[in-house]
Amino acid sequence: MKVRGFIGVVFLVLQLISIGYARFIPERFFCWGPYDEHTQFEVTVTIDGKTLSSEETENRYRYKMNGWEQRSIYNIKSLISQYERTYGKDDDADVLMIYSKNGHPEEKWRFKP
Amino acid sequence: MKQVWSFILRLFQFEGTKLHPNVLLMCKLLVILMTAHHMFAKIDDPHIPFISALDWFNNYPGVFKYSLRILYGCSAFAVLFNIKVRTASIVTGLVVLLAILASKPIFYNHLFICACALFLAGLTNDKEPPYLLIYQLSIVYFGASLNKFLQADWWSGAFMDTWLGTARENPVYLYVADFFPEMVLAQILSCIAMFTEFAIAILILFKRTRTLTLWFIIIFHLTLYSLTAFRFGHFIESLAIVLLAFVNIPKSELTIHYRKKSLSGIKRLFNFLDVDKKQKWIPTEDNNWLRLEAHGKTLYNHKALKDLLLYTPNFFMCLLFVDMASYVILYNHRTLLFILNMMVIWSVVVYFLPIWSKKSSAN
Repeated sequence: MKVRGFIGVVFLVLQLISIGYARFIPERFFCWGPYDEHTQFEVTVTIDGKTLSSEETENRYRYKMNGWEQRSIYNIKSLISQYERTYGKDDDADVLMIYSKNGHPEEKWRFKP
Repeated sequence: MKQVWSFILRLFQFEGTKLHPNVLLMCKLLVILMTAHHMFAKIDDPHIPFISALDWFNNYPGVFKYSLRILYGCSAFAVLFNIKVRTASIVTGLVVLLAILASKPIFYNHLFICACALFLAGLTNDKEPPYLLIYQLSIVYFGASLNKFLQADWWSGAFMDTWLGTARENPVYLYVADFFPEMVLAQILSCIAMFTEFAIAILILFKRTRTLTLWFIIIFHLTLYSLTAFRFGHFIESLAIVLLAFVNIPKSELTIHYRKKSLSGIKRLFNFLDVDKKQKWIPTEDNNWLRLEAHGKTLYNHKALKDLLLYTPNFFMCLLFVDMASYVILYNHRTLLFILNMMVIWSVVVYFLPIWSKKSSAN
């Protein structure tokens, strides 16, 4: 039991560290920050001058790419950035996200390699 | 044939393993819940992983996906049919965690809480209370409240107003908000949510306040669900299931004295649900229609019935099956489904609320 208990405590401590670490980054993964933001957003992806349809965009990232996001919008920025820096590196995609967080004025975020 | 039947019955048996029966019940319900929510389909080859090294598996398409699916299938089967339950629970939790780590798009707190609960459940035993699960719940609410405390939009009410007023166009919120100055209702609700979560995180750590805290959790989430008609993925169900780890099912046999004339139907129902054969029903001509002897205490009538339900794991299995079945049947009738949900859940909660002070127990 001692070993199992120790493993369990380590697992819980890791979560506490993750909660602490989240104070220094904008993403909210593994830190129990659910439904703490409400952001209306839309993402458009342009590759070689052709803008992808919303279905193609969702298939690209395997995540909804417009509507309401209930967690940090940086979670979505994170997955888009990572995709474009790895799998989509050769596509040279121009990604534009227009979003409004918690009813504030619209902002634009662009990923351009 | 008899052996096959007795093996199938294991799905509804919770005694005789190295886990507390209530913890095993929690594990089984979480596995059923996740599987019903397409866990198999969610397990895929790495796609935008949290750990870039996992991308290596994409050189061998299908290897990661099918290995993990087979592992999930086997471990979930083992949990459900009482085979090496602690190991199986750990493996199931780890598989779900690994699936999340391999794919940012499937990171959801409702999946993460299931994985954590299963993993930690496997680290507990049947000798001590499941402390790890208690600390886990405390961390969940601590993280949630801290995140809210540090956001200006929670103090100004901007989050709440956008969520309830704009995104969900919640009629109750919009109606009541009209009676308050702008954003004041949103601020009040935000403060209630933040401080309730923080209070839960602290109070659940102490034995004296734990039962009260569990009721806080139930009422808090049920109110949220009532107000928004939204279960946050399957977060509310998952949380309700994790709370079962706090039900202290007696290890010894339960002796129930019942009034034969009026309760033979209920006796038959409980006999059917009591697959572990832990309940001993004795007819009586007592003034009380039900008497339960458990934990060295004697409870009477409604108090006895409430505890009897709590100590009958298959009652909760039935609740989950009914909930899932009603969701499938009434999928295209969401309003009716919501109204039925509200009626049933609030009735059950009000019945179980420890506010009915009639003297019905004695030590």
